[in-house]
Amino acid sequence: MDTAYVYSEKPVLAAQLVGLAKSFEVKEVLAIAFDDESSAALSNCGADGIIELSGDSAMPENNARSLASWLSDAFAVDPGLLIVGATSIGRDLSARVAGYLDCGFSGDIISAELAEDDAISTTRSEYGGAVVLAETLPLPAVITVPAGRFDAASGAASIIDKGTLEPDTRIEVTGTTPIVKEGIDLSRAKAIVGVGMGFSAREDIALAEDLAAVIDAGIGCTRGIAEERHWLSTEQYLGLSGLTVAPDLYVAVGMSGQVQHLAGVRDSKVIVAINKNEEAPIFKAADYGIVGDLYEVLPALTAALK
Amino acid sequence: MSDTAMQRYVVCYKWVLDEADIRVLDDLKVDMTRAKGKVSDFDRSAIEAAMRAAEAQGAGESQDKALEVHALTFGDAEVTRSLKDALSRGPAEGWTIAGEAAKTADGRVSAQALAAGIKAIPNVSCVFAAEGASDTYARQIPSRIAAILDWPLISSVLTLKIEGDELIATRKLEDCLQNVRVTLPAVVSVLPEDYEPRTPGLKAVMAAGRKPTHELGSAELGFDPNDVASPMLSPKRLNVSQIGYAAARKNIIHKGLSADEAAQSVASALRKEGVV
Repeated sequence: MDTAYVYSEKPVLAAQLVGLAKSFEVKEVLAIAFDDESSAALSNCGADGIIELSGDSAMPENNARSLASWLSDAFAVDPGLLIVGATSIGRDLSARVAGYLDCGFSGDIISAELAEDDAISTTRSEYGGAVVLAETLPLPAVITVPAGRFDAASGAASIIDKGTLEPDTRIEVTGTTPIVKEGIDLSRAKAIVGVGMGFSAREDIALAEDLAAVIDAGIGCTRGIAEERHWLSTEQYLGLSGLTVAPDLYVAVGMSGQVQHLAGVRDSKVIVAINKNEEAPIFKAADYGIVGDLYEVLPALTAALK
Repeated sequence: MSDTAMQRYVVCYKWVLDEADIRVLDDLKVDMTRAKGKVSDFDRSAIEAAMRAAEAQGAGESQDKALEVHALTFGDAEVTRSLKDALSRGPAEGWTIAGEAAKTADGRVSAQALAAGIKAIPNVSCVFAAEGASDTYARQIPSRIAAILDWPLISSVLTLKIEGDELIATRKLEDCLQNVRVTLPAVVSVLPEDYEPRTPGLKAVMAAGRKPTHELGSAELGFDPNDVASPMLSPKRLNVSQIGYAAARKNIIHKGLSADEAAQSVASALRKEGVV
């Protein structure tokens, strides 16, 4: 492989993808953009060049068919790799490109390295995080990479080629409403207090908020709290199908520690667990644990950290 | 209304091993021998979404069957056991693609099989799927099916409604809600948030056993699901291995201390770690 291509609609993530691609020591890493504004946002992403393919920038994922067609010409000469940021848009786009190219795909990778014989070896989580899958894909291939997993590259990048993608107008965007996020942005929080089903009433979440106020933490929760009891918003639910976070400190309160939840928090630097059941799996995933009633332990921990 | 004029929504589901039953042994080998099968959690929400979309148009209420939801799955010989569970959640008929190829399938193979199944079912106007399955959670199948069929894909769907041949959906992206409109046929992948699956009652479970089921083979698909050498069923990956995930944690657990004593100890440790 001489050339690796990266795409993310999030410029910060695109630079991280360039960082990963450079680790493969390929001849060139090229960043793809779908309009001039996106090209401009990539001007310091560290890529060896930007390819601006004018397409649908309202729904970048709808460029899948024509991007696959463009890449198939490039991959016919040099079977390469497309690395895409694992966002909602990126996952949609990337797997559709893999479908049109009929090539291998590995999503939300943990690690990736070039294997001999023009192939790429990746690892990724399965079974709610209980299992790590290692697989090797022959090139060309498509992979997606979550934000924050690799260090960003930097350095000036300029447009080296321009093209036009045939528009796919089958889906029409009729409106957009920004999601207003309340409280601390959990994806960037240094500390998070996680609320589990051990809380017996909605108003008791105040106990978690008291601790959060003392340690400057955000409030997260399990799927049950968000989707069954609707006590906190779905934006606060941490886990495999929710938000994946990596704070310095995660305090898991009143939760058993199901694998799906742990998959979303296991990159935390330090994990503290409070649960009255000493057999709860959360203690195996914790650095520090307190076996006890959260209604006693949580206020005590808040007081001790004041 | 004749069978060929009836419109069908197909919902794809996967029969997976329950991750809660998986044990990671001390040598990090993965023991799945005790794991039981289930309809993937997220797929139950996809079935719910398909049912609600059809029911909103009167499906199931009259004898004049203009629209039905059918369930489709790909798996090994065991997969037919999933039909009763899947059909108890509402779909009128079940379709299986069962064969050895499922054992070595990657996302490419699963999508090829499912897309061939969709082509074999008459008059499919909409395909429903979850974003990903609860075992692999690779989130590639709906995208790949859309590509193979060359149908538009609406992913990350929070809510949707279908009026005639028009599908209107609200997608939930990281920082916005996006309203979109598409003319069917299309593939939609739904988020579980607003589609809490119904709990099948005894009557629904009993009825599920009597619903029509179909096993698709080479005559309908163009390939034999047992033929692992078929180009349609060859995975685009070389080596595959699984190991258990091991959490490297200190596991310093306080029990039997008073709440205050335990809290003081943990607070002191957190200060030493420099995380508070």
